[in-house]
Amino acid sequence: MTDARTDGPKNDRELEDYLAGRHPVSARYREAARETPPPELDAAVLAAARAGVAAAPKRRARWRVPLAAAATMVLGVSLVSQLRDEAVPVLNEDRATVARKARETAIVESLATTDQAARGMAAEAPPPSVAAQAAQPPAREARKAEEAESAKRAAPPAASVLERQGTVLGEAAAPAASDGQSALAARERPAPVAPAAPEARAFALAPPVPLSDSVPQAVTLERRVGATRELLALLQAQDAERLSRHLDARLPATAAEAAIMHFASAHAARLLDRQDDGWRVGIQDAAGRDLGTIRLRIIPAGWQILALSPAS
Amino acid sequence: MLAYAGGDAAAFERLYRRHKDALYRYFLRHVEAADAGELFQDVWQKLIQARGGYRSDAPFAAWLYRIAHNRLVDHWRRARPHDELPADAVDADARGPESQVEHDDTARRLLAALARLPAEQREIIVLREERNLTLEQIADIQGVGRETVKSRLRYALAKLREAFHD
Repeated sequence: MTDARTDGPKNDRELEDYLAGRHPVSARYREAARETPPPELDAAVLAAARAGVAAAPKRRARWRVPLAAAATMVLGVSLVSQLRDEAVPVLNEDRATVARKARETAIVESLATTDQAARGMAAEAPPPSVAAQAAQPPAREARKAEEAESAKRAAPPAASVLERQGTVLGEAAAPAASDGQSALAARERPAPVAPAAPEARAFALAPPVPLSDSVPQAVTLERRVGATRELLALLQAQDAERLSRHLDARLPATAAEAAIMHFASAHAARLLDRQDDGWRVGIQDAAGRDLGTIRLRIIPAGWQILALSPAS
Repeated sequence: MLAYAGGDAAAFERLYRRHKDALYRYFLRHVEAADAGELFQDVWQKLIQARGGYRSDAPFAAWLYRIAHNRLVDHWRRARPHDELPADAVDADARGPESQVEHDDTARRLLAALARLPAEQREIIVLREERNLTLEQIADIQGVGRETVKSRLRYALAKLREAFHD
């Protein structure tokens, strides 16, 4: 028997012939290889192929899934980034604003009444500039009343929604929509004697900011939060058509929703789950304590707040 | 394949008609007829399921036979989990009624000689003869280098030549 390893040149020539189609093996093979699959195999394979096409969902453009993922990532990251970046300053700003306004209110109340609680609040020495402002009650009262009316016109739904949370959270959870409203209400009720519980205080930090100051930022955040939520919903539903249209959409924001989202923006918002009628977003304060949930649903124009539930 | 992946069932049928005989014979050269039918059907089923993953930068035949090669190796491993690839294929005459075509003596001798080749050498001959795949494509399917394929092919040709000189 010839050893192929010891017959190099001959094998090389044979290999060249074979690769060039000149080897007798090729002709013999073509003559010998005539088998074909039985017809039942053909039928089975073709039926499987047809079933595969019929069962497959409508094919989507290849770019849509990565595009959707990228869009969600961008929006999600920007949202988280903004929440992280802005939560602390906004919170600090809100704390300062709340403290200042509380002192102002206390001063005004102390001048008008002899209520012990009001005096107690006034005892927190106000800064000289604030005291000087408080020394001109007529002009400030008129401005507050004007702001109250303006805010009432701007955001009645927010006031109603936030008033509902106020009933659960106590007096510290003043309505968000109207700084003027809170000022007016302060005159009709005694100032709080005992400090609010930590959770309630944190929950109430954002609302007292005047709506006129909070709306631009809130609208921005609302759009980002809303866009992210909607993208998540569309991805969940694999609605690529709507998703691609959505990328250029501009979501409307009502003043009420803006106020609520401002509240959310001052804290950490995270998606909890998807429910039958919408999404549930959990709100936490800067310390990570659960403050409550917002339930919202996706509508063609954007999204809609369904309920706001403070943590018990 | 891209047309089929896009939902065109008729495109699959054209593809199937073009490749089915060669693929069926590829399995017939390596296993018994009953197993060949099963493996043949498995490969097409796998291809149907993986249609979305087909990339047009590779020839379809190379893709198809890579799937077929892997399926064949799986089959052998299941049948003989402790063995390497079988040294010999089944005898050409023992393949069952579908393959009992009326070969003349030369064809019969070639198939018998082919069946006695080691599987990796036999596969090279079959892939060359059935689909005219290049050495590089065969190397890719077998997961070896081009020179290894050339070496295996040299051995295979030498053995086939000897079979006809005996």
